[in-house]
Formats: sequence, structure tokens, C-alpha cells
Amino acid sequence: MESEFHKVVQLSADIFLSSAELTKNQTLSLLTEPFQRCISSYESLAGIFKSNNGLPINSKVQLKELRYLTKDLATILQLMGRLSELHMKEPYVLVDRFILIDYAIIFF
Amino acid sequence: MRYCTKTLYQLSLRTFFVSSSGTPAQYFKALLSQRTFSPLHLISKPFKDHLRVNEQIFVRFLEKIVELVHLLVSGQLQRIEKRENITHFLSLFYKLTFDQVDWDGYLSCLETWQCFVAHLKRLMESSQSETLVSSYSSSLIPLSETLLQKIFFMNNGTKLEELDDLKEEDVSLVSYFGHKITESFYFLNRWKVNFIKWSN
Repeated sequence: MESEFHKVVQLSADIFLSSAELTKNQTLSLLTEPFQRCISSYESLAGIFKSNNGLPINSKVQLKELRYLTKDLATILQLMGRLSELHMKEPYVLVDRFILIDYAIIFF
Repeated sequence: MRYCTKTLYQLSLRTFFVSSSGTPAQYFKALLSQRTFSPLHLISKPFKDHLRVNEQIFVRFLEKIVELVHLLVSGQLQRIEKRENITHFLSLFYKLTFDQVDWDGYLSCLETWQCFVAHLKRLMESSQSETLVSSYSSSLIPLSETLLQKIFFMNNGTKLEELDDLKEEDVSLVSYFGHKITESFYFLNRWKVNFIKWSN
């Protein structure tokens, strides 16, 4: 069953995507800053994971930050996957879009 | 309290007229006047605290406004979109959307925005009103930006926690997330490079 959170993300994504079509893709740049912020946190976490063979999470606050990061990344991937239709040609979209959505589903 | 109850009755009547099929076109001109939507200015929490209105009436008051706006946008947009005050109306609705006190109200507002952008897409596809669509386009960027801020935990974590089904006490999630991070790291790294090229 679809949760309230999914409903909010889904509806927001639909409006975002429709706006992207209407504004000739100016909305893509809105994703740059959150994506770069997420990916740099993600890179440092992946480095820590590799060197420690795990993530040394000692508090609820750290766990919460990790959850926030993965959820946001999933949302960004979902939006990028759907925006890719407007930016790429058909065959490339079909393969890469499904990989992205697949990753977004794992995180949700 | 009296003001709120009176406005609630007025809004109910307007909702009835807007949903009726026989309502004349001139009515919509009057409806979009600043006075009709003055309650939209007054929905903020300070206003509510100032009036000390009954919580139940205030919630019904908000629901009624959202219902009226939804009816206007979903069914009567062709009639109202050429009015000069449509931009003002939309800016008030934008404020109403992001000032909602609960998620149900916010979802209802999103459904209305969805109707609105769907209508614009139809107009653009039929290439009948390109000027009209482009006049709205500039307001869609701030809308998209605020929508994003609302759905990202990095900006709105405390509020989104109310909707989230995962509980932070579940420590077993740590190893789950940890493995997902390394699994997807190489994939994301490739995408990061592509995305930066793509967005420039």
C-alpha cells in the first residue's frame, strides 16, 4: 500500500516533471545543488565503509542522518530518472532510466 | 470566531455556485476579486492565535478554501485564466499551499497544482495559448523549488518524520544501509560525472 510519504513525493515529482516540460527544462538546475550535497556525503560514507568494513554508527543522530541521506538520494534519483526523458534520446533513456528507478525503489 | 464562522458560510455558498453547471460566466469575474480571496491572507497561525478561533472551525475553514480553489482550478480554469487577477490568485494559492498545517491539506493543494500544470500542458500541446503558458512559466520555477525543499529530508526532516514509516530505533537498518551504500557507490559515481556534464 502506498504510504503518505510516497503520495507526497509522487505528487510533487509529477508537478516537478510537468513544470520541467513547460519551462523548457530549467528545473534541472534545481537538482544540482541537492544532488552534489548528497553525493559528497555519500562518497565520504562509502570511504569510511570501505576502510572500516562497516559503518561505525554510535548514536541515533548518526543513524537518522544516514536515513535522511539515503531517502533524499532516492528521491533525487527518481526525479533525475524521470527528467532524463526530456534530456536524452529514447534508447539511452530506456536502459538508464530503469536502472535509476530500480535503485530508487531499493532505497524506498 | 464570528468572522471565521461567517466566512465559512460564505465559502460554502461560493463552493456551491462554482460546482453548479448553470453559473453564469460573469460570476467568476466577481469571484476572482481580491475581496473573495481575502481569507487566503488570513490563514496564518498568528491570525488564528489572534482570533483564538475554535480549532475545528479553523480546520473546516481551511478545507473549504482548498475545496473552492480546487473546484475553480479543476473545472473552471478556462473561465478564469484570462482575468487580470489570476496571477494574484495563484500567488495566494501558492502561499496557502505551503502554509498548510497538516499533510492532508498539503496533499489536497498538490492535487490542485497537478490539475493546473496538466491544464497548461494541454494548452501547450494544442499550441493555442503559447503566450498564456509562457506567462505562467516563470511562476512554475519557484513552485518546483519549494516543492523540492518540502520533500527533502535535508531541508524538512522534522516534518517528514511524521510521514516516514521507518523507525529510527531499528538498528538493524545500519548494516542494510551500509551495504546499499557500497553497492551503489560505483554506480552513483559514474552518474555524478554524467550529471555534472549534463546540467552544464
